[in-house]
Amino acid sequence: MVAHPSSSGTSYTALCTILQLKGEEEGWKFIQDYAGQVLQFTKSGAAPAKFVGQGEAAVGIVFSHDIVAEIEKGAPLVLTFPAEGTGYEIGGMGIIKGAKHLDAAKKWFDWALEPATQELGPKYEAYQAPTVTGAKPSRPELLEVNLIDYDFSYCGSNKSAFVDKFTNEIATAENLKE
Amino acid sequence: MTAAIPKQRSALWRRWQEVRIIGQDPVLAIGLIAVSAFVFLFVALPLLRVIYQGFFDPVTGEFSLKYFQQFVDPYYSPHLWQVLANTMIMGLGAATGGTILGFIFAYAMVRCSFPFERMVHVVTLLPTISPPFAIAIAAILLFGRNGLVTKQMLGMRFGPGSNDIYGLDGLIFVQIITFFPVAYLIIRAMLERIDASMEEAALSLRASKFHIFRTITLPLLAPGIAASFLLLFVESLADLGNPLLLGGNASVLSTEIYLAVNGQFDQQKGAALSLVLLIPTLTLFLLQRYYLSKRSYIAVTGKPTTGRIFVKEPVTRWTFIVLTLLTLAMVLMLYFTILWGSFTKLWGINNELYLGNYATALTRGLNAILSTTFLSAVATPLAGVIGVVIAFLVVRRTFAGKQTLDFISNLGGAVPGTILGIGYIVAFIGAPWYAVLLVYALLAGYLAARATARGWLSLLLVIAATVGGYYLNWLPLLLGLDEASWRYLLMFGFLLLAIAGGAFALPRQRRVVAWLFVAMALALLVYNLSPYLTEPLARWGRTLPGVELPKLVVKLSTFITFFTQPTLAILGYTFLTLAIFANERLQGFARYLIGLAVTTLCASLIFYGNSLTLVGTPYIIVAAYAVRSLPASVRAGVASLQQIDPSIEEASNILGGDAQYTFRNVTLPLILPAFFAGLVFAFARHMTSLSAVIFLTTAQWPILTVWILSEVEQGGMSVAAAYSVILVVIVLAAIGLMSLWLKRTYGASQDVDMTVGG
Repeated sequence: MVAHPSSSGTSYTALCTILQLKGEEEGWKFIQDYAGQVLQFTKSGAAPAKFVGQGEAAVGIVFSHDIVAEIEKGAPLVLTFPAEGTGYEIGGMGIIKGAKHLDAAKKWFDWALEPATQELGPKYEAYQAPTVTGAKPSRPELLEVNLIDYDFSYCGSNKSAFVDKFTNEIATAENLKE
Repeated sequence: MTAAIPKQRSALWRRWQEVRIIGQDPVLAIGLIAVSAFVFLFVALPLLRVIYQGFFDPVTGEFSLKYFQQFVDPYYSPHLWQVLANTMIMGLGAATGGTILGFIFAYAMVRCSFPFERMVHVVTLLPTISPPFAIAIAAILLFGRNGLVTKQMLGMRFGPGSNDIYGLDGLIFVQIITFFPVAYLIIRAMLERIDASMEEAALSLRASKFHIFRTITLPLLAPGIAASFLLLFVESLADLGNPLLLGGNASVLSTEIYLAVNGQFDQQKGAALSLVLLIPTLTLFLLQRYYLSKRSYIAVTGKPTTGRIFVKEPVTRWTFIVLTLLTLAMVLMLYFTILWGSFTKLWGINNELYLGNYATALTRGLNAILSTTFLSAVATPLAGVIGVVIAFLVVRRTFAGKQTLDFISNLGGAVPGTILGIGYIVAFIGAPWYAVLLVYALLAGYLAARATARGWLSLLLVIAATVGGYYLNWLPLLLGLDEASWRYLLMFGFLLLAIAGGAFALPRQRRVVAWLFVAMALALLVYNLSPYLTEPLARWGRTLPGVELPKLVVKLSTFITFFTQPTLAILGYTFLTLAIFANERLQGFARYLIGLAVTTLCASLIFYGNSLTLVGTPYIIVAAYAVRSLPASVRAGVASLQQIDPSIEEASNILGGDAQYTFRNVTLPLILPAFFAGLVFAFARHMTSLSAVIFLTTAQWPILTVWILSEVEQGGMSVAAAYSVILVVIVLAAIGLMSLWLKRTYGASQDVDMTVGG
């Protein structure tokens, strides 16, 4: 089980990783083949971890920290990474131009970028790796994986084209369950 | 001698006279302006903006048919036509199934002397008080891939490609169960009104039972059956919660719209798809309203029909009764499952009794529970009052545009909520100046027309006040004042007006006028000072121990802010309305001068910045709620007004009571019980609505139904069930309190009839 890339960044990251690993032509063929085995494309990116945990599906494709969160709650899950390498994303923040409370937003940014803040994650069931130097990762073993050189601008600029292609060619395929 | 031929007047002139007659009664006129402004801003404007948005690129502003062309583009069209086909299959399936089930229920109840009448009544109430996807949650718990029936009892396993509850079939099943009570209510009402004498006549002519049913009963029922079919079709198409939860890989229009806006952030696509969805729903709505309603052969005479006919053949009778009982059992089982599911730890794996879901729901969702209840409660009297005013105008007054007002007020509840939601975002992300100006011009124009008899002087007043108000807003910029000081400045303006108004008011009206202006000044003062109360309150709240208590106190401070710091345009409109009342009580030329001054001050408020930017504020959620329940409020108001003979009101008029006096002392007391009972229905509708507010909810004002949805989407079934139970309990508590209060105030004869909304 995996989310639909039109509504989930998780699923789009997975899609774009495959396209970068295998090249576009080969990658789409691979996605076509594996889509036939997907039980359901969920809307939320983290949902497959829950569904697998509850026994509704056998395998889910999700960000690793979401799986850790489910395991911590007692779900009988095993976390694995693909041997060929895996994509990743860095959580982003932004301030809207002309923001009403600019000072508050800046304060939030300063606070969020402190190492101590970023170590708060596990307390709130968030196991993402910190992004600033000086912060200790809560799950260092999650970082010992074979990361690919994820091309953010390639994935960003092609997003609507890839999602369209997925929606119109893959998700409508005959071999899918109605 | 020939009698003088009266001058022929044009239709336009007559229309103008009708408006003038209403204009002579300020209360009535303001009522008309206020409700017109409301339905214009929150129904007509958003819908027009959606239609417009579908054709224009939001970034470049260029005209484009991009998303309509996709329907013929061979690359995109297979998916889009599949979505369209799914939508139609879902609508047809739900409407057919729901109508048949509704008919069986109605027939069993009216004709088969059904043994458990009270139970059926309760079941018809359940959908109106439960969240729109409660049945879907229960269906997943019972029949899902890990469901109690499917996996635990039958041991079924689901691999890819196998048929499970997710998908069109499961979706249609759930929609039938969710919507059939509506069909039941419509068909039952029709069946009860059929005159028994016709069937008795046929019987005495020795027609067979089936022949009578086929040639008399069914044709008489046909309009009701058709009406319920159309209504169910529209409801099914508009439904967002069930397709999101149960659609699986089958996508329908409402979910595509939701994903376009909330997943891809493409408003043009959402708007274009909305238009595609709007066409069938609007067509059916018009069909039902203007065609079917005139095709009813059953005369509503008010006289009781001549006795009821009962089916005596045991086979027919028991078939209907058993079918009804089976369905009843199914519905009750589904609702019981929600209750049960909310008390289990991990559904299907660990089924022991567990209260943790409620603890989680209360800590995590306390903000959502409080916000939703608060906003629903605030929207309830708003919808009720607007509904009564519209009903009164429609039933008791004649004026041009009456039909339009009635139509638009109904439209807000009839169009799919997703479309309305997108319209609200597009229309109020930065309010269009022409809309702000139009509502202002209506109010200011009426004030000016009442201030002087000369047309050109009135026009001068509006123009001078508008220009004056606009330039008043440059003052803080020139003097380097901040927003708060600008409000203090306006406050002193209103205080001066209070003194002047008190001096030039009609005798014995001085106090009222002075107080009205002082109230406006006070409102501005409270606006400025309220942070000094709410901020320390919130800060103190955060230091409190525990998880719930701080949230409660912080929420309380936002509730206070909700009332003390409304959006400036709302404040300005309210002031201008109050100013009209104050101005009525002034004499001579003071009317003109003070009218000019107060309009200038209000214009300054209304034109300050983007004063009607409502996206992100709680007010837009309140408006969306009120619009959704407005049709029911109007219908309830019309029904209760039609029961009052106009001659009672005329008698009051003849004895010297003016329109205001008559309404307050004659009409209002007669319709009040029905009005209050209608409020409960509105509240229930607000609490359970999802599709219209799903785009409008913010982090500060989370909405319970949206939370339930996201909880289910993440697989938190038990917590979602707990939220649903909490929601139902809140609505039931409201119903209980209201009927208790009604019984104590108006005697035992009054009861809350939840079926009025149909």
